[in-house]
Amino acid sequence: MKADWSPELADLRRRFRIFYQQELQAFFAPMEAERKKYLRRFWMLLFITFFVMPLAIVFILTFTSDNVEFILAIFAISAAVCSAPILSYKKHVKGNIMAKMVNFFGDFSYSHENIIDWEILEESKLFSEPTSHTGDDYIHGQYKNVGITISEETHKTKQGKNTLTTFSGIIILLDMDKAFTGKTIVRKDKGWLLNKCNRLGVKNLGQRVVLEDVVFEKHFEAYSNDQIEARYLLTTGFMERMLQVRNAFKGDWIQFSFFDNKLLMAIDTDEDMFETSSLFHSATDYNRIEKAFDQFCSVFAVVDILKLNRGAN
Amino acid sequence: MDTLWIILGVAVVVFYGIYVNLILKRNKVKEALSGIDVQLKKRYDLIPNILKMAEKFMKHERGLLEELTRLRTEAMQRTFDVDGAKKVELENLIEQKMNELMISVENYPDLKSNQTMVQAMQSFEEVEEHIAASRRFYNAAILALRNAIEIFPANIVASMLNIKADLPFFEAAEEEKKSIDVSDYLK
Repeated sequence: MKADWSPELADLRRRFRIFYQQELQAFFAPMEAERKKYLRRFWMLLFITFFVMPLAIVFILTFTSDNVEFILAIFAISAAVCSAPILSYKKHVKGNIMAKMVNFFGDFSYSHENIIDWEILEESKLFSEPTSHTGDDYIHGQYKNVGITISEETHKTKQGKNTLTTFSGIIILLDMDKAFTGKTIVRKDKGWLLNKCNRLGVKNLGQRVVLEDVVFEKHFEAYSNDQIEARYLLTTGFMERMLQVRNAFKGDWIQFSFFDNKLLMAIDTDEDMFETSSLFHSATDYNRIEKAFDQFCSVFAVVDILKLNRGAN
Repeated sequence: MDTLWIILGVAVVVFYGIYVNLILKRNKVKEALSGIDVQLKKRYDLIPNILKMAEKFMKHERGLLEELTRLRTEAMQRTFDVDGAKKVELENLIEQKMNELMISVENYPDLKSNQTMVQAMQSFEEVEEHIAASRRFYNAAILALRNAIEIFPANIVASMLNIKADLPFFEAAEEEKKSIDVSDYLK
């Protein structure tokens, strides 16, 4: 994902560096001591596990017959024990860092655990119901007078004994400057046969909307329960801008849904977004902060590219 | 004998399939046309409000306002089914005259800043976007019908059932091709 399409980016980056030096650096300094404390705990647990695990395995091999399952259980317990400091550091420190950082972009609130309600996602018709719906980052607020919610989520579904990840990426929920009552869904074009199969799998997807933009039609398939409203939303200009968003998130699986005067964008990406803190990197490491800054720019630039703030200004 | 029955059965099924497809496409065109009518009705409802406001301020555009009133009345009396070409012509004229009116609003700062007028103009812009959308839907529907009745073997079925696609595409008039943003006149 790249964030360098915005003409204002250089200036924004310069202002962010000043913001970092004036506000964030002093705030991050005490967290470095905290990180070292967690890191010591991690090494200690790893050290203990290193000695305890072979002893446990030898014990199991000597006294039990069902060896494999016990050995696997020991590995799982060891991994859970060692990763505990990593996770608790992330939970403790990341929330503080992110809450401070998102304020640079506007009036935002941050939560490490919140997710977008399943009822909203279900209404978008872009997702199949998962058995597990978890979140990593949840940011809600206003950017250039446009209401925006960003949620990094993972959806998993059980299929027999296996667990399948059906979605992993970010979901962006935006207020639209147009009023509409119907539902219009823009899905990735997966080819004639897969499109037909996927269409059968979604209830009330609506009728296919064939649009004039040949490039747009090559990448996307639009469906709606209101043909006129779909074209009211998907004007030729807006379709071009949606293609720009697609290009900006190159390589990622991107889909759109218009409902309840909102636009929901689902970006399926392998990239772990907004990772400002790591137990193994200094809390004041500017490169990590800047990477998260670039990712924020990518997301917020969607508002600029789609010109969603047109009516708000 | 059995083979003959099978061939006949397949031919009936194919014929019926083509017939259903053509009727669905023709009905889609009708749906699109009624969609345009619904949006045009919104435009007809909005024009008197704008004209009433404009009349209070505009001293030198009486002719334009009267012309718009006349065009609106005439357009409302015509339908796409009976007199499609004339209806399209009248609608294009209304659009052109409304654009002229908006340009004239520039010369009347009091009118331009009037809150009711600003809201009416914004609603008008919204309605125009809906009209454009409904025309695009109509164009897509008529294109699908035309393609269907011109390609073999559907063209044979279409001529047997007298299904035609003689309605025109909506095209932007020369004046309309220059895009006009109403908000520019309201700054």
